[in-house]
Amino acid sequence: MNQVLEPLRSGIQWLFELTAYPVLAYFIVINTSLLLLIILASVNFTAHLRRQSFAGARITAASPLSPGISVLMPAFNEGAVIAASVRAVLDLRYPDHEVVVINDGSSDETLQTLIDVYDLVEDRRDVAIKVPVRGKIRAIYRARDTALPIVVIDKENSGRSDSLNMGLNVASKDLVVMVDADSLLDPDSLLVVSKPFTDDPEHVIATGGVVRVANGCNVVAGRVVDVNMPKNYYARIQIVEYLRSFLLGRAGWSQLNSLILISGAFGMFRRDLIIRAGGLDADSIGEDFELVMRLHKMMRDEKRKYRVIFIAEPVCWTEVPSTAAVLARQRRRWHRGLWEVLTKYRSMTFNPRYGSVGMVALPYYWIFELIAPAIELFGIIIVPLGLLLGVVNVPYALAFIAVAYLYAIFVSLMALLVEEASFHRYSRWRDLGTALWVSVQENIGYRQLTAVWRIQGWWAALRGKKQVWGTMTRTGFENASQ
Amino acid sequence: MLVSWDVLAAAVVVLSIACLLALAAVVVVKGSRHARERSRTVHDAAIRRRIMALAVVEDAELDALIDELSSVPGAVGDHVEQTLLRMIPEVRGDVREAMIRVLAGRGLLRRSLDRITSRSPIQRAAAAELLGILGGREVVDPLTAALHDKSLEVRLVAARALGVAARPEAGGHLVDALSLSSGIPHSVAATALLNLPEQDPAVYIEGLLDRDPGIRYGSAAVVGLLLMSEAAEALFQCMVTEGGRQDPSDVVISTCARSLGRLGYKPATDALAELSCSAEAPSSVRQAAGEALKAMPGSEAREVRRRVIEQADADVRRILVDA
Amino acid sequence: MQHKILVVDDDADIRDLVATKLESSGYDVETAGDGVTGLELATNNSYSLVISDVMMPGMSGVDMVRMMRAAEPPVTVPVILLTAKNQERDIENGFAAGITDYVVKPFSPRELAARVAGILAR
Repeated sequence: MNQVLEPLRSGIQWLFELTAYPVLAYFIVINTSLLLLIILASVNFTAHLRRQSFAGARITAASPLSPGISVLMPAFNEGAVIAASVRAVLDLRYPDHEVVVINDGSSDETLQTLIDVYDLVEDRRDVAIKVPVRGKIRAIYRARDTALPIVVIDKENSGRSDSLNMGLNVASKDLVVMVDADSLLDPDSLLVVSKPFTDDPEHVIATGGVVRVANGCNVVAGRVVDVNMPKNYYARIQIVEYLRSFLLGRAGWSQLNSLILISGAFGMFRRDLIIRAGGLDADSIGEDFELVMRLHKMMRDEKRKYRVIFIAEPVCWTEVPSTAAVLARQRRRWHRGLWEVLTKYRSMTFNPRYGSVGMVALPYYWIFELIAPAIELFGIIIVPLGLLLGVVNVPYALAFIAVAYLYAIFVSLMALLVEEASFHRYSRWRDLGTALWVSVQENIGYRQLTAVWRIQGWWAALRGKKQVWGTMTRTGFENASQ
Repeated sequence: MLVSWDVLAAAVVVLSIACLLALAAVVVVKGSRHARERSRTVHDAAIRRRIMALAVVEDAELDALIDELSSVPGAVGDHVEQTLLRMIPEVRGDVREAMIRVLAGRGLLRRSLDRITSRSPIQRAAAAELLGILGGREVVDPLTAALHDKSLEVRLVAARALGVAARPEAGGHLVDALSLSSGIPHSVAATALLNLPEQDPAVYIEGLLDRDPGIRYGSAAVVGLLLMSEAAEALFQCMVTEGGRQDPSDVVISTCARSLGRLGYKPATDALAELSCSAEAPSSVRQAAGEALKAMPGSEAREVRRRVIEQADADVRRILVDA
Repeated sequence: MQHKILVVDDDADIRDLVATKLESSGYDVETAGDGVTGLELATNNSYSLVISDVMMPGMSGVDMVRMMRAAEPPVTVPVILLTAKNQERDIENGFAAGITDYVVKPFSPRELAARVAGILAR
């Protein structure tokens, strides 16, 4: 027995000696860079909040000269929510916007519901194809009442990206925003997210709104009325996760003018540029990320001055996965998309021609987003093994883990602090208690699980397995709010 | 070798302290916000009825109420100002005037006039916004001066504020602010212009001939949206000559076309038809011309539309089939 | 008979301003801060008139009117809609839903009170 264990023991010993410092250093560097992003984000927020009073939103809302916005809403089997979602978009406060619904070959009553509720008639006009699409159009509908700005495209099933590309062909306004049928939008969301375009029409090419967790919130007629912490374990943890990496991380990147990832759930673009870039890549699994990278590349190659801006103000709410199975699918897909996009644009990485995007943002995503789960997993395996074989003693192992995770908790606390000082959407003391508890709790179990899922996604990408679209099982807001 | 125990222990201690400090900071921030909210409720209870009474009382009683609200001191006084500033954009008529008198009585106008020359751009922008809300003749000069502020943000806020103040004297300055060199987005300056009363079409007829495309764009937009039919001929000329310019602007052509449609200027029908089918024009211009054609009244225009539908691209056809 | 009026607006300042003005004109005024509460109050009470904002979190003013008219039995109380400037679509939707009149913000409380008196005199 010992003959087997002894070489294993010395192997582990060797591994520990080789990796202890690098792994620890990695943990410290990754969290420090997150912390730096949070500091940048708070600079970004302070500027935003001080300017809020003279936002001019009221004036933009009433001006006939505000840029028009086409809201693109792909829908696949959304019959239960589609009528309310469209109504919510039509009711948004904005002087000139239309909604373009793309029915992606739904097998349920999505199309019929729209036809009935909005009194649609078939529109026999043809469409100029500016972005190539795969799915064949079956019919296009518009409201009998021409004052109602709604267009519905009924087409064969071809996926979200291809549906959005079809929407781009039909959209008629200068700006386009992509929303999911199940996203909940604040009444002022279009005003808030389009504001950079109004203030700096020459340079702003894209803006991304922040997406927040809708689980647990009280929702009435497609709007979030009361913000609450969800009861569900997974949803709760994702609130802190979203606050930390999505909201704060991205605000930080925006401050550096090297935001490379805009959330697909609420990104606004200039229509002419997105068409010139060729629309979304229907083969990409991280299509939103891919699009923004392509725009960056296009603008930098043309040596044009441009800005991609992140809007920290919470305006879009979405239901996040509340079961391990759905969450696993989502994370595998995200990581797979990350790998695909990073490798596709590898020539930009460390390429000074691409400025801070190439020199800072892309390397960061390679080292700290892509590889992170591998390091994490390595730690999960090696520390218990070392303990078991007596290479390290218990206090030592605990201290080692504590350093790594205490820093992570500290970063989460800083994120909570910035949120508390800026938007404070979670107003109750109890919410803060939950958030604090979750910041600790996520380090035990959740982190490790997501690391495994992300590795699985990466592995699937490396093996070139065909992409599988995870369908999301929704619990419905009515249940969540009770 | 392994990371030494001392290093690990030190790191754990430092991080624990950092966590505790961060935790304390979150609690302090949240606690002070809750406290602020509570005191706001208290201030509100103290004064709200009196503020609302501005909509009810009249004559001597109103004067007395305005004096009373003007002299409320301290935190409650600040609360009065905040409440009124929130309400003023929503109301007009006597109440608005009464509210502005309270704010002026509290010295807000004087303070803002001082602050618009402050060294901090944020202060200047905030002052400009307040001056716009307070309105009146005396805010025009400082606000038009702020249109040339060195901070773009202040210039932008000042342009919007002039629209809110809605004084006719600001017209010429806002037209100048349309120029590309001002850095103010032209839709912002043009939106402000739309809000001014008693506008002279001659200003815009001249603007349509200006060398600066921003001014041409703004003039074309205002002429159309304010339905200045006196300027229709000049607008038409502007659209025609724009194509022959050395550096023609698509935005100017599109805006001229849309405004001609809004004015229903029939002599432009054929030119618009040509533009909507033109192979050289970019698609945004073709679509603008199509929209204008769609708005054109009369049977002649209907004939032209029918003809254009045969030749135009799919996007323009979509627009015209609707009509 | 004393007229009872319901004022629905999420903006507490405007709600109170309208309520104060109407109370001084001798009406009984009740208020609601959102469309859902407004609908509930309007269904369970008999008001002479409802004044409602359009943009509210949750149910919009137009939706509220739509649901009032579609209820069984329908709530037929006259409604004045408070709409924002340049939002003609709200006015169109409002009349389609069955409003009686509208007032554009920024509004004059005095003019609003005059309209209220006009509608109640019919």
